[in-house]
Amino acid sequence: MRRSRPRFPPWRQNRPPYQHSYRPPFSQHQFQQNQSSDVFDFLNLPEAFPSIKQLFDDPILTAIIMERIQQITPAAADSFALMNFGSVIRQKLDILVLSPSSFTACQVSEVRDVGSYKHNTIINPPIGSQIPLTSDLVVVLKTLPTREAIDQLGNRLKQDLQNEIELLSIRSTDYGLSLENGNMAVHVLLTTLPTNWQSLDSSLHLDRTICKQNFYAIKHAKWVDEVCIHPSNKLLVRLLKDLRQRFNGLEPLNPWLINLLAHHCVTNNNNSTEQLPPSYAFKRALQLLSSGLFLPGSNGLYDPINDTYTNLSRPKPIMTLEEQDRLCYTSQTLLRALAIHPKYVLGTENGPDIFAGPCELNGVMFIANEPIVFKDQSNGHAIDDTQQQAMFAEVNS
Amino acid sequence: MATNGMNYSMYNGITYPQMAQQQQQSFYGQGYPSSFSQQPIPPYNPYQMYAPSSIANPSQYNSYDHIIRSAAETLAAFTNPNESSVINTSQVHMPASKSHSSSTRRSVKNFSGATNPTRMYYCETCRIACGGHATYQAHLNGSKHKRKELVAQNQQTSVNLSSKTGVNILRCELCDITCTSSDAYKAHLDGSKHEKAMRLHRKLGKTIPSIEPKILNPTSQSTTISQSSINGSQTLINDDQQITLSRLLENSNKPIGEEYIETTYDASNKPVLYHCKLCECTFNDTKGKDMHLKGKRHRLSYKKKVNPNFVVDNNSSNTKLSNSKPKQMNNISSNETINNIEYTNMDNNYQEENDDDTKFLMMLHKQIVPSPNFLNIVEQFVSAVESALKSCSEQLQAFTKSSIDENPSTSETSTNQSSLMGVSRIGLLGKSLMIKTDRLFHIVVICAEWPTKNLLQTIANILSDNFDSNWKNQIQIDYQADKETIELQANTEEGIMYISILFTSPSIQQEKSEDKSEEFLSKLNCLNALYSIHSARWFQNQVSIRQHSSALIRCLRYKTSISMNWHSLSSEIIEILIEYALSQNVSASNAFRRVLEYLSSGLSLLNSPSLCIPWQKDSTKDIFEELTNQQRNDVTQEAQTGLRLMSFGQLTKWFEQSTNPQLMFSLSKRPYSDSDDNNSTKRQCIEFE
Repeated sequence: MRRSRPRFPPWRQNRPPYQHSYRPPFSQHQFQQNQSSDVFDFLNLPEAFPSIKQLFDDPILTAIIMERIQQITPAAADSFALMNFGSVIRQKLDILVLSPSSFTACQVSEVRDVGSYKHNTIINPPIGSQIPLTSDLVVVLKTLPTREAIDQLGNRLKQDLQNEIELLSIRSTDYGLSLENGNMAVHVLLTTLPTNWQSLDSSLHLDRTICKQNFYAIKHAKWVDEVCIHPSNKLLVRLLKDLRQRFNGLEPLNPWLINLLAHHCVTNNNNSTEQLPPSYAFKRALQLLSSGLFLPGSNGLYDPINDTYTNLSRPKPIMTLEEQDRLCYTSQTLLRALAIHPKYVLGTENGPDIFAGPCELNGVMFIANEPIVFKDQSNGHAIDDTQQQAMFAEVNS
Repeated sequence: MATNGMNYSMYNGITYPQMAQQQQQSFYGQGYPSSFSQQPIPPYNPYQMYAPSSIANPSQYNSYDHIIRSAAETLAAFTNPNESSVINTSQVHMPASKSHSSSTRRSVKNFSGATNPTRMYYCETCRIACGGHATYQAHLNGSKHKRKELVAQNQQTSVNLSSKTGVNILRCELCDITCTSSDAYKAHLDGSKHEKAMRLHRKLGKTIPSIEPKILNPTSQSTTISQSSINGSQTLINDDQQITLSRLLENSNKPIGEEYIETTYDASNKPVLYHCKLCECTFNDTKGKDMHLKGKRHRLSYKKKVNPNFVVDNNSSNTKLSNSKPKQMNNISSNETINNIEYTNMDNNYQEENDDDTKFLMMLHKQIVPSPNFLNIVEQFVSAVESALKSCSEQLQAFTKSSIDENPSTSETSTNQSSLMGVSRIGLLGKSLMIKTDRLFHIVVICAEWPTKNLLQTIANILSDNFDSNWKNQIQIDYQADKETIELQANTEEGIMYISILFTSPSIQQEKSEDKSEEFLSKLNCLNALYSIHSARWFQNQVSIRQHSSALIRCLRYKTSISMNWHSLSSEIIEILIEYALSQNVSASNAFRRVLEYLSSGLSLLNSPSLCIPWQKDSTKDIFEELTNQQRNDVTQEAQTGLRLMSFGQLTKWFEQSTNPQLMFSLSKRPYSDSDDNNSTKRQCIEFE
């Protein structure tokens, strides 16, 4: 029975029927698919697929996961330092909100914490790299975010912070400002009120898409804060972020998609309210990606903020075809490797680089999947053309 | 099985006529009376009774018999609804007429009552019965009646008007109701109003005009309007009506622009919502969608948005326009409609094989399905082997009768019973899943008792004498002691064919002991043979009834034959996966994609929840049990590549990929023109389609 008014917000209901009822046309996409459907998922078809083993908890994999989580979670001291650093900057920004007359270059409407630090899903940067631990802030301006205003804001922050902490560098980036302090950083993501979006000009201001992205980051953070509370969920987000950090092919999976995917894998358990343990959810995430969750012809995940499926998001598809293919073949390869050598995939043990070429993994000849779509052709429209180009690429390679 | 035949013909005309007939004709031993009764009459009649003098003890094989009986029952359960569904579809239009015939019976009884003193007052114009004289008078004076009378006088003109507009109007003579479409007319016939009027008229003994609609459109007036009386041959008329009605329904607009319908599926992949992109409207069920596709609004928007040349026929504003224009224009428009008919025909064809993937799979299937000649030869070969085995059995029987002591193993069996009970085709033969490259086929000999090696040896020795002369020279017989099979090899027009004969006995299932002794066949081999009989039976009952199943399985089997990675994937696994995919009510290409999704998501990998075998409900045997770790990995990889190729519309490449990597390497090193050639031939094929 359909309720006339949902009792819970949409994302709390495990995709109730009314969310299914709306599906925008797929016209923006190069591949006109008449119908797309959800990809195969073991958990959603229990009666149609009589499996033998109930593999909800995999003790071996759980042990490896726990070990890896220990490795990638930042030390308490580090995260405390980061928290201090972030809160000082926040204070300074709050002053600008409270007394706008003290600063004329721009007017700040609100400041919000977003990102992995806020959700407690932050992971250690890869060992040996120069990337600092970061926390993110979104600053919503009432005025338009011109380049000059951003620089002014940076200068102002620099002045204010001079006495309190040792600030090494402050620079403006294409998303806003980045404040670095040795081994940690705070990214200030700048955006403006939605009413101003129409008047943005990329030659003068921050890019419109970036402004939108930064603004949506607030909404995403709210959603994650409210919904993704299960520890298993947070754990899975960390694992996926770690995986993405180590395997370049998973790059198209942005943090928001990681959150969506993790939430889907942990909670969307065939309409039961039980949350899945991380070992199973991790495997499920890879299974879904491998069976083409983000490939054309599939709906993708339900995005509660846009109220549509990710693959069908209209203004602009979330990934190019090349990215879709890259994400898919990387996760397919990882899924196969996981069955053979779980420790390698999770990173607790070193092994040969499986993407470099054929190698032997625990006694099995392992060949990574080959890409099908290539970068230069991902905008090609006709299938025939892409085929020919693919042949060219094969010949050339 | 008729359903099987239909299955193939979906794809092309090439069917397996004989195979389809004989599929079930596997058991003809006397121990299986129930299965026997189910079978169609086999083409080789004298062969029917296998061991006429032998009296098998039925109770001995009770359990096995039971399996087969239940299989036969499920078979019946599957075929019946199928057949009746054919009837049902033709009966869809019938409920009204059915109720007529039933009410006719009632009215015959009432008919005498109609002449009773309690008179009915009936108003001809309004077709209304009044209870008494007073009410009748009141009715005659009423405004309603007067209006109707006026209308009746002007009726002639109104008909002309309607015919002018060229609208195809159906008129129910009985109720004096006009409907603008056949669907509405049908709804009216089913409705209570029509029913009531019908009953009243019958009660009064009035003539009932035919249910056949009076078509007011002058162009289609050729349909005869048959007048019928009440008591006459109602059933005959019903048939007539059914036919004409159904014809009428068929003749109504063909659904168009189906490709603009978007279907939303729910989690279990059932279609829940249809959205017409042209008209921006949604439907919850197929019926509504179909109605919409035939509807005028949809056709108009199709004309507007898709094909401006498309003529919305008959009841469109177009015809009105052309009517008002000079005759030349009329000619032009008629030309246009002819073109248009062609177009719609083409369009319909296009809809049937909607997307590229389906089209490609059908094309591939056409290429890999064996030729009728090939099938014929296989069939001749197999039936020659079967009849040879039959005469072997007779010979053995005579043999054991005459000399009991000579052969200790056969003497163990009761003397007046043949040791061979029947032959069953299994695997590709039983399931008729052959593709062109197949040369090896399997049949199973079912023995009364646990077969011995001695028995095999004897049969192998005497088998060649039992072939008729045509085949004798062509066939080589080879007894494979280690595999416990008899291998036959024949030179035919289509090359060398192999048949491997396995031996088993239903009694083995009851045996507790693992292996009896050296002289008997190993239990494992016998059980495997039984297992494949079950598998064939399961396939016939569950899989072959599904549309496209055989074609899809053949395509995947073809892949296993050309790809090293999939070499280890047995036909059984493919059948099971296809069955699961098709049980979700999806289209052919979707089912194909589903199978690839199953495998890509690591179904066959070690750490996955594996699948059990559907024809062995109790067992916990995994369908991927026999695969090694390497094979599981390779199978998954191949499927993953296939899934991505399919998603990006390059499924053709997946089937092109050659078997061994070296060959592929050399192919890709060839100059580009070569692969371009390849491409162009492919395109030609598509154009040819």
